[in-house]
Formats: sequence, C-alpha cells, structure tokens
Amino acid sequence: MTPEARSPSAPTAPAAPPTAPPPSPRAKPPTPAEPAKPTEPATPAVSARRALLFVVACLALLAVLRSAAMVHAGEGMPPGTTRDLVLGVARPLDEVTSALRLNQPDRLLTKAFGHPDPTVGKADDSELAAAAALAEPDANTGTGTGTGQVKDRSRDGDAADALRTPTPADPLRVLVTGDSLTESLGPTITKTAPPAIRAETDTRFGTGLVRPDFFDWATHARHQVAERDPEAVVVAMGGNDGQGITQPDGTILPAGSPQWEAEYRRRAIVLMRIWSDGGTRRVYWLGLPPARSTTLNGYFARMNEATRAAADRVPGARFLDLRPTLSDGGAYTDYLTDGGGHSVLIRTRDGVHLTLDGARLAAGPVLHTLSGDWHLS
Amino acid sequence: MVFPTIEFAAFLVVVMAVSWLLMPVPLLWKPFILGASYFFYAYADARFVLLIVASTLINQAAAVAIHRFRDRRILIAAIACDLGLLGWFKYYGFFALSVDRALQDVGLPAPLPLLQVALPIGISFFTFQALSYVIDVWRGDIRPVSLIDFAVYEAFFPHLVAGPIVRASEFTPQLTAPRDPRQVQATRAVFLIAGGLVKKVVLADLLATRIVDPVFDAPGQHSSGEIAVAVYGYAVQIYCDFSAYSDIAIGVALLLGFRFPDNFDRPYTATSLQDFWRRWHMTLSRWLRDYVYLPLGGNRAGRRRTYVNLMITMVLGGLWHGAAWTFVVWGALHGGGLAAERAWRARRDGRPRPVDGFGGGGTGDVGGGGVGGVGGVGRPMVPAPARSLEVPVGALADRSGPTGAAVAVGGAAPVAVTVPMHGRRHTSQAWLGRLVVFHFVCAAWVLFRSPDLATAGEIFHRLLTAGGPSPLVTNTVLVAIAVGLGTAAVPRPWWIRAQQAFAARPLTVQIIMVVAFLLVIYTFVGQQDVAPFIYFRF
Repeated sequence: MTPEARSPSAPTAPAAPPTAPPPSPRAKPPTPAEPAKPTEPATPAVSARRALLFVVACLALLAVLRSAAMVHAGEGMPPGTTRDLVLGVARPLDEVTSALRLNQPDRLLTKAFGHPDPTVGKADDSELAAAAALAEPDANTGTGTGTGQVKDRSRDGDAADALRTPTPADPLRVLVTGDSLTESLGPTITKTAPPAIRAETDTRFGTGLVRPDFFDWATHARHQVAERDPEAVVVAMGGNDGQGITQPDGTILPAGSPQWEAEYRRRAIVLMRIWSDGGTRRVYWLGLPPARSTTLNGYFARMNEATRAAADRVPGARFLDLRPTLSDGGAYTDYLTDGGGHSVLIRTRDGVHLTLDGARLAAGPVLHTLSGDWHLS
Repeated sequence: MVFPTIEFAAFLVVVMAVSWLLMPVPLLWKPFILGASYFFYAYADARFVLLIVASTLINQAAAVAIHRFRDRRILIAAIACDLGLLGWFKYYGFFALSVDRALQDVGLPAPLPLLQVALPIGISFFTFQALSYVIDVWRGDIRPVSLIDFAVYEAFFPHLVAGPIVRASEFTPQLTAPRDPRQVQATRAVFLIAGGLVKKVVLADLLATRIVDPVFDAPGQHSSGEIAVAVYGYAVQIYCDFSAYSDIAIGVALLLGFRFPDNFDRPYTATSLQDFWRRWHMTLSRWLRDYVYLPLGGNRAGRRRTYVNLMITMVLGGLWHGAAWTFVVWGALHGGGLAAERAWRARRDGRPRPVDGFGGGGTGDVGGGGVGGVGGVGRPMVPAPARSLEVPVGALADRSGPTGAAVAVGGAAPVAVTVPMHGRRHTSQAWLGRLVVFHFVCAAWVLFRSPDLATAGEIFHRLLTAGGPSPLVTNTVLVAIAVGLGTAAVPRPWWIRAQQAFAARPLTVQIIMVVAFLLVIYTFVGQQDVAPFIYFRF
C-alpha cells in the first residue's frame, strides 16, 4: 500500500481559512529547523573528506572495471583536447586492466545481459579501415563510369527492369539509415510514403565513416542486411565526418585534403557494396545539404563529391543530390517556401539537421525516385 | 556538459575537491565556484557565457535600484529585459514564422525577417530564477544580495541547465556562511544520483528507443496496442528522464554542501489535477503560481476570472517548454482541466471553494517514496498554515540560518493541511481520481511529445481504430513501465531504512556496493550513447 493515502485529494482539499487565497510563496518560508528536528529521519551526514574519498574511489574503480567503455566513449568524442586526454588515460589503462583481467566482471555481465562483446571486432578489424581494403575497390564491377563524372540520374540498365512492382499487400521494404540526419528524415519518409512502400529507420547517432573505431558501419550494415533484408537502402550520413581520418598505420589524413576525400570515397564504396550486394539491393546515398558553418560546408562539399563518385562505382547504388531541394540556389538557408507557398523553417538551430518541415521537403525527391524505380508512379 | 559523462565525472571530482578546500574562505570560494559554473556552461558553447553574465549584471543592477528607489518602472524595465532576452532567443523564430504564415494566407507581405536564433541552453531556467529574484526584492520579501552571491545563485552549475528552479531566498542564505564540511549528506546524494542514473539510463532511454520514439515517429505504422503502450511509456519516460536530472542535480549540490528544493513528488499518484501540479516539476509550478497566477488575481476575482487565470497560467506554462503549438495546446488542456475540476468541485460542494490554488504548492506531507521521492527523505514535514496574500511575509531569507539546514526542500513547505480520508469509499474515490488524472495527464503528454498537431491527432485516431499485432509491446517494455510507475508505491520508510542501512556500512563496503550497482546497470543497457535529457531543450 502506498503511503500517500493521506494526500490531499480533491474532495477533502486543504482546510485553510475560508478567505485565504491560494497559498503564497511567502506563506512558506524556509522551514526553521527546530520544529522539524524530531521528525527528521536520521541519514547521518559525513565529512567532506570522506564524501570526496567516496566519490573518487567509486569513479576510479569504475574507470578500472570499465576501461573499455571509457575508451569507447573517448573514441566517440569530437577531436580535441578532451578526447586526447580521455584516450590518453583510457587506452593505457585498458591495456593494463585487460592484462590483469580486471575487465572480466564487465565482460561477463555484458555477456549475461545478452550484449555482444564490445572488445571483439574493434578498430583495426573494421572492414572500413582495414589495411586489406586499402586498395580502391575494383571499378569494373560497378555500372558507373569514370570517377569524376557526375551521375545523378536514374540508373538505367538491366537491373532496373528486373525490379518488381510492390503493392500495399506486399510493400517495398525500405531501410532509411545513417547518422542523426536520418532522425527526422526516416520517420517522415515512412509517414509520407505511398502504401506500397514501407520504410523503417535505423539511426546511429554520432557515427560516420571517419571513425570505425567508435562505430563500425561495415559490421552494422551486414547486420542490417541479414536482419531486415531491405530491398532499398536510403543512406544519409556525414554530419559527424568533418574531421581527420586516422589510418590503421597511424597516419592522419587532414579533413578536406585530397587524400582524405579519396579515403572517404573508398570507405563509402566498401559500405555501399555491403548494402548493394552486387546490385541485388538498391542503395540511395543522399547528398548532404549545405551546412551553416562555412568550414563544415566545405567538408560537406568534399564528402558529396566522394560519395557521388563512390555511387558511380557500385552496382545498384545511386547518389541523390538534395541541394536543389534544400538550399537557396546552392547556398545555406534556414527558411524555404514549401509546396503550398508557405515559408517553412527547414533547418534546426545547429545549422546541420533538418526540421520536420525540412524533412518533408527532402522526403519528396527520395520518394519520387523510389516510386519511379519501382514503377509506382 | 551533461551529467552522466566522463567529462562531468572528472569535472565534479576536481570541483568538489577544490570547493571544499576553499570553502572556509568565501573570498576565494565564491569566485572559484562561479568560474567553475561558467566553465561548465561554456563547455557547450562559450559565447553564451556572455549572455548569462549580462543577465546577471542587469538583474543585479535592477534589484539594487529597486531596493533603493522603490520605483515600479525599474521593475518593469527589468522584467521586460528578461522576457525580451527569453523572447528573442526562444520565441522569435516561432513568432515571426507564425505572423508570416498568417499574413501570407490573407495575401500580405511578411513584415518580420525570418531568422533562426541559436538557443542558449538553460536560458528558460536562469531567466526565471533572475525574475523571481528581482520580483521578490520588489515585493520586499528579500533584500538584494551582493553581486557575487547573485552571480553564483544564477549560474551555480548543478541547477544551471535544467533546474530545479531554485529561489534566491532558498539559495543565497546558504552563501552567507561556509557550508559545514562535517555535514555532507553523502548517503542521500548517492541514492539520488544512483537512482537518477537508473531512471535515466535504464528506464527512460529504454522506453524511448524500444517503443516511444518508433511509435511517435510513425504512428501510421503501429497498432492500437502499440500506441496505447507508447502513450503510457512516454508518461513514464518523461517522468524518469526529467526527475532523474533533478535528482542528480540535487545530489550533486548536496555533495558540495548545498540544498535544493525537490522537484517531483510521485506525480502519478495525484488524486486531482491540482494535486498533480503540486507534484510535477514543483519548482516551475510554484514559480508560475507566484509570479503569474497570483499577480493575475488568482481566485480572488470571481469564478470566471479564476478560470481565465488558470488558463493563462497554464498556456504560458506550456509555452515555457517551447515555441510550438503542441505546447500551447498541452498547456490549454491542463488549464481547461484545472478549471473544469474546480467547477465540478464547486458544483458538488454547492459553493465555490475559495482555497485552492492551481497547484504548485508542493505537498510535502507525503514526502519521499519512489526513486524520485528519495529526495524527500530527510525533509521535515511541517505543515505551514496557508496565509492570506495580504500578509507580508518578509521573513523568507533571514529565517534560514547560515547552516542552511532548513531550506524548504520538498518543493515548498506543505501548504495543505492534510485532512485524512476516512473509509473505503474515500479510498476508492482516491483511486478513481488517480486513474482519471493519470489518464488525462497521459493524453495531454501525447500533445507534448508529438512533433505537430497532425501527428497528435493521428495518434488519438489510431489509438481507437488500428487493429493488428503489437510486436513492439514486449515484456521488457511492460516491465519498464511497471517499474517506473511502481517506484511510487514503495513506502517512504523503506527508502529511509535503506539509506540508514547503507550509511551504517564501512566506507569500503559502500564503495563496492555503489560500483557493483553501477556496473550492473551500465552493462544491462549495453554499449549505447546516452540520449540527451528531454528538459535540456526547454
């Protein structure tokens, strides 16, 4: 039984003087201690020294026992002093604790709760970054031609003809996936799609192609394919990728450099191929709309070139440029006019993400393309 | 900086150590804690530190001037300044766009430039605190404090970004003398912080990812069963999320020797809507009551005017949460609900009841219980008689001694003198009230959570019409909802006993217990990123 049976319920409400207005704040000064003392339950206070010792000991012990999680958290941080500091402490600590097997409780509990072991398949094992995949994938397997060629049209050829015509009873299985850019876009596509298209969203916040050490998209894409078996994959990511790429050998490719762009393209190809699986699935890679920050916008332009070129090399993959839909003649804008002639706010305050209205605008060309390719229009 | 992160853990250790070291010397301690709070704030976006500094200087200057000259115009200027700041950063875009749309519909050109203004985190919270300070000085309830004290009060990092909304009269007296380093409520702090982590990391985030987000993102694809569970799930999620932040904030403040008022008192056990507002976000409710509802006239100007006042107050309360029509409708629903409740009560009793506010009083008499209620543990339960508005109660600040042990934690001292209910009929009535209130609140949350009114409409429609299987309704989800609601049923003495039992253990055992507990909850949720607190947006 709950103890609130005494709570002042509506019927028996406060028996205050009949003329009294609602309680004023001033009717309740900080309660002087004296009348309260007898009822105050004894939860004994301790000294500040002991409290500090307690906090420090708990956090230190937790850092030792969960050093792997600390490394992971560090890897997920934006580049900078904090990340360097956290990783500077966490990585050596993790090596020591792993050697001493102090991470056993954490691993056992993780396993007991049915989670995959986070220490397996990390960093250097990633297909995205792996040295074995360093060579640019063979261009001949793709239907695209040439690297620099801009290709943003319906991909013609045999594959397109082989596509079935989905029905509401047997709808097209679409997976919208990527980083936080898909957060508003995915559900909007789902909501505005015709009945013959059924879209799911799988958003992975704070991820991208640059940091497989933090989140390995190659592994995740294989899971997605195995578990969801989509017919079409709509990808939006890159919002977190405006940073240098650290190669497995330790060299750092500065963000925006030609080498960086080439590596980005290579990783995009690896990933698109996993989803596309030789053209059995369609991959629609959405170009990044302009960002408010000019620096970031510069990186976004590079990434768009890289992924556009990548899509040209992977059968079944296609680059969809959203700039015409989401920019003011190619320039960043917060507001646009929607189909009904109303001004709408399309970007969130951070100048990167899409608002719901922005997502509605963006969903248009995506659904239009899907409908076209699958004979739905 | 967000609470459950490595950065904050490191920050807390350093600040706690230096804070206690410098505590005996206020001349050093105050600048230090102010600098630390600004650092905490700047960690997200350094530009806005200037904003909080400006807000501090303006309001302090206004408070001093008001105290000296007693000129109403200064008060009005200060309020205009604060609301102007809030209006510009939080509401300008929404306002300009709404005007633009309305005029477009009748074929007129847009008069206001459409601008996207960056939202400084926590601006709603620190602005409300500054307002309460200036108004309290005007009312003569408090005297202006020194600039540095006011700056520390406004920026103190535990409450800076998401409350609780602490009154100057509750906080600044705690600055008059150093906190006692022999009296740190560590046990209560640990229970609050660990409980907060469970609510946030386990319950709230689990419900968000497993059911609430998928359903609210695409209600068209979900069945009635899933939608119903998602609505309950969101009620639990938002409670766990927000009360977790409050609990952690209160716990962190305790570790530094400071007391904050409680912010939640098992809100879903409320037997009336008015009762709900005494238990939900208590520091905001009482703020609205004292600075909006009562100045509007409260319930003194006739029944109809009371209803209007309730409506205005709650719509403003809705807007406080964000610039969107969904929040406006949410507020209006609660305003209408409170008015209807009053009308019903008046009719039943055959006369208007003169006593009740719209809530926000805080029913300290029921104290703790539930994880959220842990905060209530250790609080005095002193019913203070309701006093008439006309009684000037200026004793706010000066009655709380320098040890600050007596700050009215518990949201506010109880304003309701408890009238025990008798008999089974009352018990069943209370339960009926609880059920009705809970479902009304849940339905209103749908507006709060939905991205727009159309989605909310779709949710309600499909709630009644969409058949089909409910694959998202898993045992895990149901258990999480049950646990989130069930914490309120844990009798308060149990929590006290648990705290006492914990406090009686040697330090090493305490450390092992806490570490083991955290290890279990973090491995339970697995490797995932903690979603931002819902109330960070407001």
